[in-house]
Amino acid sequence: MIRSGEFDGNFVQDVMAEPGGEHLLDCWSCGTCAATCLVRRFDPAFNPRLILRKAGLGLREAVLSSREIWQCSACDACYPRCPKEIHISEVMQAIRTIAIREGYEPPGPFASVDEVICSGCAVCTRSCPYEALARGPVMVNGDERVIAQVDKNLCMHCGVCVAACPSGAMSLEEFNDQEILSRMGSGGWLEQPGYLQGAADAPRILAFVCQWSIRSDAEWAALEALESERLHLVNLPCSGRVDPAMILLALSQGADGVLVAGCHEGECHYKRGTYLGRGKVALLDTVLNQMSIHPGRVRFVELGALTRSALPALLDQMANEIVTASTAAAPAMFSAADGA
Amino acid sequence: MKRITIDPVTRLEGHGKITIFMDDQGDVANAYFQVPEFRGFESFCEGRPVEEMARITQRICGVCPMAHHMAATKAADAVYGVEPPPNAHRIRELAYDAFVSGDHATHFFVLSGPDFILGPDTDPAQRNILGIVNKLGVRLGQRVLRHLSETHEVLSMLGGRFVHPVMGLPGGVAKAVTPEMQRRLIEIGESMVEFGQFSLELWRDLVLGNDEFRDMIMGDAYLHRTHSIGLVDANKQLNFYDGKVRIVDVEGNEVACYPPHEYLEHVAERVEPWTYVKFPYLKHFGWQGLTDGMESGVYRSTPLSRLNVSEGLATPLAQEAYEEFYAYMGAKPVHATLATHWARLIEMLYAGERVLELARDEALTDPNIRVIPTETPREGVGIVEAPRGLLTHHYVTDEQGLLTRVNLIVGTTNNHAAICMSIKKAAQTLIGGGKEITQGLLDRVEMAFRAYDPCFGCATHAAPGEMDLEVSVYDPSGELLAQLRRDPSAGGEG
Amino acid sequence: MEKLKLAVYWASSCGGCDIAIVELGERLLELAQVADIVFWPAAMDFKYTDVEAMPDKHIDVTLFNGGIRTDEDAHIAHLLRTKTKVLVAFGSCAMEGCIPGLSNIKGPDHALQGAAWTSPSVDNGAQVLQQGHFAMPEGDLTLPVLSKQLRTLSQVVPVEYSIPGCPPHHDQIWKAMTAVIENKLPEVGSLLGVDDRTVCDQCPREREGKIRVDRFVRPHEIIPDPEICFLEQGLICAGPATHAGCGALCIHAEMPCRGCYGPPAGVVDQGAAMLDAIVAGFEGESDADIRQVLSTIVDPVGTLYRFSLGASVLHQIKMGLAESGQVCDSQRNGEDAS
Repeated sequence: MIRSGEFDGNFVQDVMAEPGGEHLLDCWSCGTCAATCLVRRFDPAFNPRLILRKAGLGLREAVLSSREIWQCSACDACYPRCPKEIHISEVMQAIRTIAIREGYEPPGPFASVDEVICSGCAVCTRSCPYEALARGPVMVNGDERVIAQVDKNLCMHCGVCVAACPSGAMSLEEFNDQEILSRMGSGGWLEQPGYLQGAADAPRILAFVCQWSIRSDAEWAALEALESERLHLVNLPCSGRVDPAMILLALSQGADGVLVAGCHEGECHYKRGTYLGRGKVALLDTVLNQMSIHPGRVRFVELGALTRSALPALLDQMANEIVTASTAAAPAMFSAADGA
Repeated sequence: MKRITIDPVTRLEGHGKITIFMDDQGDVANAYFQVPEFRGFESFCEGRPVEEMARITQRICGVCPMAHHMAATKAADAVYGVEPPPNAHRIRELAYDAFVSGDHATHFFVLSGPDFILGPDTDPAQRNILGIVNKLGVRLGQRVLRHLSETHEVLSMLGGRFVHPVMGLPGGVAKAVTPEMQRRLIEIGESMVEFGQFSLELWRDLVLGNDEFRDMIMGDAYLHRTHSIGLVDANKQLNFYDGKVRIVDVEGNEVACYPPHEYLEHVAERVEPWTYVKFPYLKHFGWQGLTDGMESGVYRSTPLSRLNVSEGLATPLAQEAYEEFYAYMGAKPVHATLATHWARLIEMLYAGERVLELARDEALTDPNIRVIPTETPREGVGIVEAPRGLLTHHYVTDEQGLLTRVNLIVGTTNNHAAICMSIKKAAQTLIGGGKEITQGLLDRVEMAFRAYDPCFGCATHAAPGEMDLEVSVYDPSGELLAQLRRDPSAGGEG
Repeated sequence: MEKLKLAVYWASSCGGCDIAIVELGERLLELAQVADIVFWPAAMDFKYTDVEAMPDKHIDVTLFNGGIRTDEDAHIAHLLRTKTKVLVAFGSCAMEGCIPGLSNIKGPDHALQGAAWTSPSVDNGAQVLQQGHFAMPEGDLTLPVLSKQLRTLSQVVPVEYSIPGCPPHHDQIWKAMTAVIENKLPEVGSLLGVDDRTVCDQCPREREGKIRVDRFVRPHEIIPDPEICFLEQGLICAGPATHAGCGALCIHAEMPCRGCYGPPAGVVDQGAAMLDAIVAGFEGESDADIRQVLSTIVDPVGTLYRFSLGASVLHQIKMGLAESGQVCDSQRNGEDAS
């Protein structure tokens, strides 16, 4: 029940005056955005329709103090579906800007920088889809250094920066390197030798799966049921979180193949994470080819709304390709004399 | 047969071992010099981008990295058909000659100097740079180290560092010279000239002034009459950085004078299965085995040969030293292997004078130091004079400029046949007849290769070819006793 | 006080690490006050027999440079390990394989045999290869044979410390030697002679991280702005993935870093770290954009792993350590036949 005393007409004006918030009152409250929203899959409390409605009703305190306004990742899945063509993530951003001005803080989780290790190389800054990183001067152990700093107001904890950082100075609260490595090796999965080493009946595949690319609990449950000697699943917040070092470690131990499942171009929950994931796998592929490492051992597959439930079949296909390639003429340990 | 092994050979760059076989009379039946290392640069450079070769091939040798860097840079220029601006050439030559001077000083004082300054009979524990400092004083040690540090400073200023510098690119150099840098380069050039004169003075006092050393130099144990090769400018005078390749025969007559890209018409390489280094020889004469003389294809590529092919030197003090040298030795060409050390010091003086000349040039601070290549890359040859011999880099690339084929004929490789011959002759002349074999005697055998300032890391970069094997056996006077040929197609050994 | 006994050895090496020690200059004379160098083939006349005659652990510190390419390299590594208290993998070759490690892409047999027709200056004849034993009229000659892969020192014997660099900078060598002389060595397994963090920490160029690129260029294709980060100009630079310690020398010479000081502390695969750094700076969205950017990156292994292939996880996928030390195929037959 909303009491009349909670209504603050200025709040509506403030939002509409803020760049991005102009179309707040266009909203019909139809709920299409909520039905589309990927965040809602994991957190039913998040409801973009409700946030816009409350803002339109002038409920300043309720909106600005909520944690939900910080959860929109600007994936823009809702935008093309909104019948009023409202760029909802921009309205969210406008609301956040007001919240920051009025002293509210995002609840996290955030990425963080190890100030002693960070060299200020700016690689993470380039990688961030939200421009949530910038180099700035900081006193570290009595010296002023220019290093990366996380803007908590913008950080979506996607982990792209952690994968990008070449010196291990970035970390996340969840999906940290140690956590992912331990999940990769859980149950001793990596210690069992693989098919290509002649020790298993069929190829053993490690699959890094972007959690946003699996659109329903049922799909995820179906996947988890496949977890076995031959298949090990590690979920990631984004395919952009994948680090080639993890793929190489897996291949050098018990994994015959590594599959990275991520979102289609344009459907990434974190805007550009899938581009980075695909880019890394593609470049790694050229490296593996140049080393004459058995073809087909690393693949990126794109999953999305129209390719639901495709993953099990794709895993089988990958396994078959590894078998076929290995039963064909054994690849030379080193490439042909005139090749590069 | 009794066998004496010197393993490893020391005070040189790279690995080597000498095996001396003694017959029952206590004389040397044969002596073999083997190079037991191999890394395979020619092979693993395939697929690398041509502009990176300057930074990759220099890891063939950390004593002469600038030589490979420069040969690779020039080969890359040729691959792209690009002509660098004049000031790029100037900067390159200045840096290059500073490097040669430092390298020659390192060789003379750290590597071979102990043999002359302390003597081959010195206790091995003392027979090194620290022993030299002990004998001649800390001030001399400091002066030598200062020279090394100054020549290294030139490379650091222009190429980041001395060991594995990064100045060369196809089309020019990466870094320009500021007026402040130029002032320092002039200072260093002056110091280099002074050091060159100081070293020659030391040579006159300690070596020419010592009867035993004088006799070693002029004597027969280290004498080989071979053809000579070297890089010369338009006036047929030595230039380390650029020019044409000139060959003169045993008697000093010109055999050929050709541009780098024609090298295959003049030089070929043989392979032996008992050493990783190949044996280049002059096609004009053909391979006659490990023998010297006019008919043999064996040639030498050393400071001595460079002076032999030069018609004087292009800078005044070095020219004086050149004239003094030939007057003293009595004839030109000179074939006394140990005189190579003297030739090396003369080259060091020339390099210092040339650095000073280039440093004083007003145009050195011209900022125009690079041209962007526009042609499609294909193939090219770059040749420079490495301190220890002619260095040839030949690259063939695809259209992206990635290497498809690499051929390197490296400084010391040119001299491999001569080194084998020198060691064998020294062993046969000095050892035997019942003489006690002391470590000083063995050091005198090692002195036979040290004169070449060999760089076996350089020499064994590469992949061998396919060869039928020929073994020639000679008696001490150089007469051919027997020749054995192995033809694998016939099976077994003949 | 008894002088320290020091040894310096080069396996399959270019000699640059030895020159780096000579570059200590006058500090070498200081070193000689407190240490006796008991084996250093580059500069001193001690032979293998001198080392064999030493009691175990006689040498206090051995600085071992060069990769393990031949059975002789491996043999001397074991010999020196036995005679040494503190064994240091000195320089990039010993620590991570360095540039000769690139031979692990195509292998030693390609180098030994396959190149015969590509070497245009070689005389044609029957196929003869260097072998481990060869009978000459006077007796047998032996040559070391190559192993299937170039290995690092720690892949052959346990090592107490490593000093990275190609070569290690002489100031850093002095830092390490001072720690040895003053007996203030860090815990076993550490790197010596490095500064904290990566080369970017020592690089003067500007970088705000706001620029991404949709294509890369090669160093000779542009004249870069001297003030701005190479990566932000589309030039691949290994600085972010390389341990600091050199003082960013190549950057000061206006050339991008190629990674010779090895990976940052704790990073196992330098190439993967570089790959991460480079892709982070890609601009674009589609697969076509990715293909476009990748088409401008040539020789990925040679660029990303130029110095570190020997120690990388990548190379272990190809061949396990047990097999990599075996004699290469071309020379195994020769060995058996003799």
